[in-house]
This record gives sequence, C-alpha cells and structure tokens, in this order.
Amino acid sequence: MQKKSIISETEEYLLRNNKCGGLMKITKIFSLALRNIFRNKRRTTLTFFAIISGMVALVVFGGFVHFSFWGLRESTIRSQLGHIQIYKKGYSQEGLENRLEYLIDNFNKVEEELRKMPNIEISAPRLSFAGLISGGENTHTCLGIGGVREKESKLATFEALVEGEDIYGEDEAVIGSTLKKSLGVEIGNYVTLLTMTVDGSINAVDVKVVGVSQSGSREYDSVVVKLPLTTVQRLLNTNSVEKILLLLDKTEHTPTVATQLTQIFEAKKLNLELKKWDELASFYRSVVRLYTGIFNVMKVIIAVIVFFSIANTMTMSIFERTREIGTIRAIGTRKSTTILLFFTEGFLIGIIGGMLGIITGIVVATVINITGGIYVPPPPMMTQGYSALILIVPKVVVYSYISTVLVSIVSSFYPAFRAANLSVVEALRHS
Amino acid sequence: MKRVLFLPLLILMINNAGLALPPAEEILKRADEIRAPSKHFSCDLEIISKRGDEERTKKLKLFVGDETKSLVKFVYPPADKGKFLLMVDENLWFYTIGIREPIRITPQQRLLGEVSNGDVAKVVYSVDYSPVSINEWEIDDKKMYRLELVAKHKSATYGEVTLFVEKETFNPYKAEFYTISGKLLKTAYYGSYQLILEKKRPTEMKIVDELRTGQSSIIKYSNFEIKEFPEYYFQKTHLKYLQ
Amino acid sequence: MEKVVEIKDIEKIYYLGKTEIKALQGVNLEINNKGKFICICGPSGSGKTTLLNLIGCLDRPTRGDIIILDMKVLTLSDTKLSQLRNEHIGFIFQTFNLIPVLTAYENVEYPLLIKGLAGRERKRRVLQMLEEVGLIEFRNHKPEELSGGQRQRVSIARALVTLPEIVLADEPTANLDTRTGETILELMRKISKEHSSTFIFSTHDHKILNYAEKIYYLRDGRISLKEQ
Repeated sequence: MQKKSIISETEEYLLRNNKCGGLMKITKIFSLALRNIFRNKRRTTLTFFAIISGMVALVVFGGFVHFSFWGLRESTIRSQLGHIQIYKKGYSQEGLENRLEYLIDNFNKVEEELRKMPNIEISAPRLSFAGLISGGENTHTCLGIGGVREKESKLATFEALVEGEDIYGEDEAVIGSTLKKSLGVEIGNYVTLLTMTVDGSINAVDVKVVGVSQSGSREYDSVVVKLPLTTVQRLLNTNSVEKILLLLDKTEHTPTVATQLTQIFEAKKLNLELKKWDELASFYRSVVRLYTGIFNVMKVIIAVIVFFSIANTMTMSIFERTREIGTIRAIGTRKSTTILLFFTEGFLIGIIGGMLGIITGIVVATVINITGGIYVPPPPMMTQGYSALILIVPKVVVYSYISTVLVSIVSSFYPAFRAANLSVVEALRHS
Repeated sequence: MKRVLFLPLLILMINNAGLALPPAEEILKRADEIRAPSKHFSCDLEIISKRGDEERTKKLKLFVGDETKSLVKFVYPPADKGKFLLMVDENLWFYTIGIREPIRITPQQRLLGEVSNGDVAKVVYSVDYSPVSINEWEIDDKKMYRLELVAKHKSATYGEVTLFVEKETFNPYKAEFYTISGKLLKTAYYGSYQLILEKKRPTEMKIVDELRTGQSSIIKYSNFEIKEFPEYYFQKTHLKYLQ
Repeated sequence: MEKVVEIKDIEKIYYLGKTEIKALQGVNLEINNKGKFICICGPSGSGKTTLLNLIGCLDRPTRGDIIILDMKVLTLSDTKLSQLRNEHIGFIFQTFNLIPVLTAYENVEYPLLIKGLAGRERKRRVLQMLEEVGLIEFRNHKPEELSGGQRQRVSIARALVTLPEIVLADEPTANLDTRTGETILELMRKISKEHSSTFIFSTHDHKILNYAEKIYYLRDGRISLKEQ
C-alpha cells in the first residue's frame, strides 16, 4: 500500500472539503485573461482603437452638445426670459389676449418681498407693448420692452451692443440691428412709437435712437426696442408693470426659489403667479429634444460597432485557441469556468478599452478647448456663429464608459458560451 | 328752351334702373346732406363705450373743411389733451404732444370701443364710396331705400357699405359696414333726430360689432356750427402748433 | 486488486455525412494494477486515439460501459467528469499542448488551481514536480523559450501534479528526437513507479513497447492482447 508521502494531512482534509476553491481563482482568471488579451497585440490594438474612437466620438459630441445647450439656455435666460417671471394671477391664461388687463399694480410691495430672498440677483420690472415704429420713411411693427436700465444691462449679458451706447435715459431707446436696417435710421435719429394705451386710446411718443443691439436671433433683432420703463408707462398711460423678471445666482436654484416664491405669494395674498424659464423656453426645449435624439442615435450606432468589434475579436481569438480550449477542458476545466475565462477577456477589453477611450476623449476635448474650440456657423434663426467648446460632462463620460463595459459583457458572452461547448475531442484534433 | 328739355331727357336716359327709382347718387347726396349741415362745419362728439360694468367716455371736437378734410381734436379725458387726428385726401394722421412729426395711421384702427378713427373723421359717404345699386326695402314697417356702396379708394374705412335711407325723408336709418372680402364688421344705427340748423338730423349713432363681441358704442353729436376754418387747420405740418 | 479501468463491450460509431464508420467494435479492456505501463498499438486509423479519449472520459461510446476507479463514467455529469479528469487522470499530448501565455511553473500549477488547492501547498507541489522532471531552473520560462524535450517534461509535470491514478499519453515521444525520447521515457518510468500511476500509451515507439507490461493491439476497431 503506497502512501503518497507528499500528501500532508492538511491537504487531505482540504481536498475532501474542497475549500479555497473559487475565490483565489478569480485573481488567477483575471491574470490569465489579461495575458490572453495581449497575446495578439495587433488585434487587441485594433479592437481598442475601435472602442477608443467610439468613446472619443461620444465624449466630444456629447460635450459639444452640452455646451450648445448651456449656451442656448443661458442666452435664452439672460437675454430674454430670466430665470423666473412673475405675473399677475391669470396673466398666463388670459393675458395673451388682453395683456394690458393683467398688470401688476402692487409692484413696490412685491419688490419688498423679493429683496428679502436669497439667490435672487436681480428683479427687473418690465412693461412691454406691441406697436408701430416709424422712422419717417418706413413704419414697422415693433416690440417695445420697457425696463429699468441698470437691471436690464445685467439681464442682457448675452446681447451685444454693436453701435452707440447701452445707456438709455428718458425717451431714448436701443433698437435691434435688423430693425435699424429696415427703418433706415442712424444713431441720433428720432423714431415715433405708436400703440394703444391701457384704456384703448391711441398714443404715440418720440424716442431717440442711442444704441443698436444684436442678440443672435434675427427675428428678435427685427422688432426689439428697449426703452425706459417710465417712458413706456407714459405711453401706455399706466403706473403698473406687466411682469417681473428674476435673475438668480445659479440656474440650478430655479426650482427651489420658485417654490418659495409661490408660498410667499399665497401667504401674503399678493395675487401673483410665476413661471420658470423652462416652462417658457419652447425653442430651447425643442433644440434639446432634437440634439438629444441625434445623440441617442449616435450612442446606438457606436454601441453596435463596439459590440461587433469585441465579438469579432473574441471569436477569432477562440478559433485560434481551439486546441488550447480542448486541452484545458481535458485537464479538468469545467464548462462554466471556461465561459468565465473567455467572458472575462471580453469584459476586460471593455474595461481597459473604455478607460483608454475616456482618457483619450478627455484629452481630445481639452486639446480642442485649448485651441479655441470648434467654430459653428450661424444656426437657423441666428445671426452669429460661435466658437463651441467641449464641455467635459461627467454624466456623458460615465455613461459612455458603463455602456462600453455593458456592451463588452453582452458581446463576449455568446463566443464564450460557444467556446465552452466545443467538443473536446474535436478541439484537440484542431489544426 | 332746348336746354331745359335736354336735362330731364338726360336724367331719364341715365336712370336705366327704371323710371320708378330715383338715381342712387341723388339719394346718397340727400342722406349726406342730412348728416353734414354744410361743407364747412364743426360739431362736438361724445363717444360712450360700455364693457360690462365699466363705461368709458371720450369727448372730441370735429372740424370739417371742403367736405373732404377733417380735423379731430381730443378734448376729454385730460390724458388725451393735445392729440389730433387729421384726415386730408386719402391720408389719416395722428399727432400728440411729444412727437416731432405726425404719424400715419389707418382709419380702421379703433378709437374707442367699436368706433374707428374713420367713423369719426368721415361724416359723408359720397366722398369715399360710390353707389352701385339701389333697391326698395322695408324695415319695421318703414319704407326704405337700400343703397349698396363700394369704396372708391384704398383708404376708405370699409370695403363696402350698405346704407338704408327712409324713403320719404332721406333720413339715414342704418348702415352695414363690410370688409373688402364681404364680411360684415359693424352695423350703425342713426337715431335721436333733432332739429338742427333747419333740418332734422341724427344726433346719435350707435355702432355694433357684428364680427365678434356684439357689443356697441354710441357717438353723440351736438353743438353744430357752420363755419369756415383757416387753411392751416387742415395742414399736417401745422398740427404741432394747434392748441 | 483495484480495477483501475474497466472497458466493457465498447462500440464507437462515427458518421461522415451518411457513411457509418465503426471506430471501435466490441472492445473489452481491464486494467487492474497501478503503476503499470500499458501500451496500445496499431496502424493509423485503427482507433487508438478514440480508445484513449474514451478512457480519458473525453468522449462517450455509442454502446458499452466505461468504469474508471469504480465510477460509472457514463452516469456522471459534465461537471463531475471534469472533476474526475482533473483529479484522477493526467494527459500527455503528442504536441505538448502547453498554455503559451503561462510560464512552466504556471502551466504545472494550472490543474491545482482547478482543483482548488491552497496556496502554500500548491506551491510546494508544483516545485516538487518541476524538480522531479528536472526543470526547476526553467520554471519561469514560457513554452516558447523551451526546447521540445523541456516542453514535454513540463507536460508530464502538469499531468502528474494532481497525483492521478491514470496517465494517458498519446504518442508522447513522436515529436522528440531519439535521445530526448529516451530521457522522457526513463522519467515516466520512474514517476510511474514512485507515484503508482498507471501509464497508458498509444505509441509506435519500440522503446516504450519494450518497457510495457501489457501490450494491446488494435486493428479495425477490434482489440487483442499481446502479452509481454
């Protein structure tokens, strides 16, 4: 009776109880998978290249898109809408037809409350009217915006002054660049504004053109006339204001401030209502929808490419290692372990390739930003192009990485499964 | 002798609608004469517009020269002081203190309630409209002439007017105002006939919005004076100097 | 006397398209002792590899029974079969079949990882095996850095590291020159004696045949015994 002298008693015990099985194996599996990936350096490089290209495309395009969103959002907020608009109750429902019947007459009281609140940088009262503007030769429709100049200038950070001054005193106005052209007037000329007062009487006032503005929206620039609130109040024969625009310190504070204000309005019976900028910015919303849709299509396409890239690599690799697979199965590797081995390879390609892709994407984005960004020609409805930077958006980066890893998991599963289910005998016979 | 005979024959020939009906131009002229005492006159107007419980009033003074020119001066409310409308030929101008030049506006624009600028500035129809047909009509047991008028030029307030005139007296009774496309915009009713300057004339005109609201406003006329006014009353350049 | 291998009335049929090929017919085989050298020889295509595959539980017969170490192989699941091969059967291939990305040490270690042997014990066993085959200095070399003979030694070490009762060797010396082949053979003999492992060869090599205690002859799928 030969005793296998090498077997110690500990070993005997461990063998019977099959302890220390799976856990250690995982590090070994990873090590084995890692080495197998870099076995055929050229193929792995190409696979990584495909993944990296996909990641860079997502990171850069995603960053570009988010930059454009940011620009459009902030310009919409900072030149037209403000973060929050306050109206008399009922304005947003019925006020469209009878604007002048829903005016805020207790403006001072409202301002008192607004002053007490944090996060509000500016509260700008406005009174607008639609009317006619005449420069002597031509008469055009116009949109007159009466506001308090110091506040308006803070609100118009996305508008450029292309001529003259931004300072308009009593009976002075800044008009849009397209409007200036169609009227054929110059700085220093007088124009007549004609509209109806709040009581329905016709009225007119002369203002001197002191400046010309450009916002980037051709439609806006062809009707806008900015003038003092007091002038408009005189023209419309009222002391009220139509709305109060609020500019907050940060766009993200909009929901909380809105909720607080609504509560205060209720509590103090101020008879007011408010709307947040995202409820008003329909153009912005449709742009977001459009670009998000395009981006989603891109994501799908890239996912498909990465999927096939990895699946192809795996399949080729398995084919080349058929005999090896037969061998390891022969010496006792289970089907499940075999699946795990190959699956881990695909998974690691995803993890490593994805990481490389993220890093490359960030580098490319940074390089683009340092060299001044990408020039975008004027989109429809705009008069100016702009230089787009690539925002490095954590959400985009993380999402791209996670999806690459997920795709790598999904795409390597089937090849791994097939590898494990090869007939051992035929595999050993292979090439 | 020949000339005396010629004229009636001419009239008979022209009136091809039948010997029974008088020519439409004649009727229109007679109706206009009732409304406007002369080619040169002035009068006071009060326009009252009701919206639910609210009542708004404007007081104006109208100066007419040469039948075709009219100056409207805003008198009440005080906020309207210094405003003028001037209608000369086919142009309507608005002026208020504070603007350097009068600005052109349209006669269709509302002045107050249902009353347009043109309803106030233009009194006689024959200047802006030519009759194209005439019928007999009956409203409330009263015998009327029904005249269809068509705008002569672009700056007339309405595209078409259908004027109803009492058969015997030629008193204007009712007028229907249409757009060029034939939509009924407003209806005006002439009432409160009083003896003014040797004739019974309407001192009230009620205008009803037929298109949307069905609401109405009233123009009250008073203080008619026949007088010739200086040329500068009707000159655009002179508006800023008027008090 | 333990029955190491019992092959009862085995039949193995292949299908090439519609053609039936009888690789093995009515084969019976019993290996009773441990530590023996058994040879199976015959011309190419006679079914040697097929028989070895069946003994090694890599394939299933069309008919018949296979009992290894008192276990009915045909009743076992794939997982159990894998375990059986891992712990009780060693394979030595003609083409060595080492894993190219692993060093000699790691190749030998591999079956122990599957088995689940703890770290220190595992290391001890691997080093011992490498020492027995005389490759301790080459333990960190990859297969591409080793000669044919050295690779085969690694293969032997791997086959034996789990201390299997059976070692199957399909033409182990076919890819080696004569001198190396002799050395390998000597090694296998020594190990067979020391570990009481039964070596079953399929071979043409006369040197092996000379050492064999039993020789079976396969021809056209039928087996016959040629006693030494």
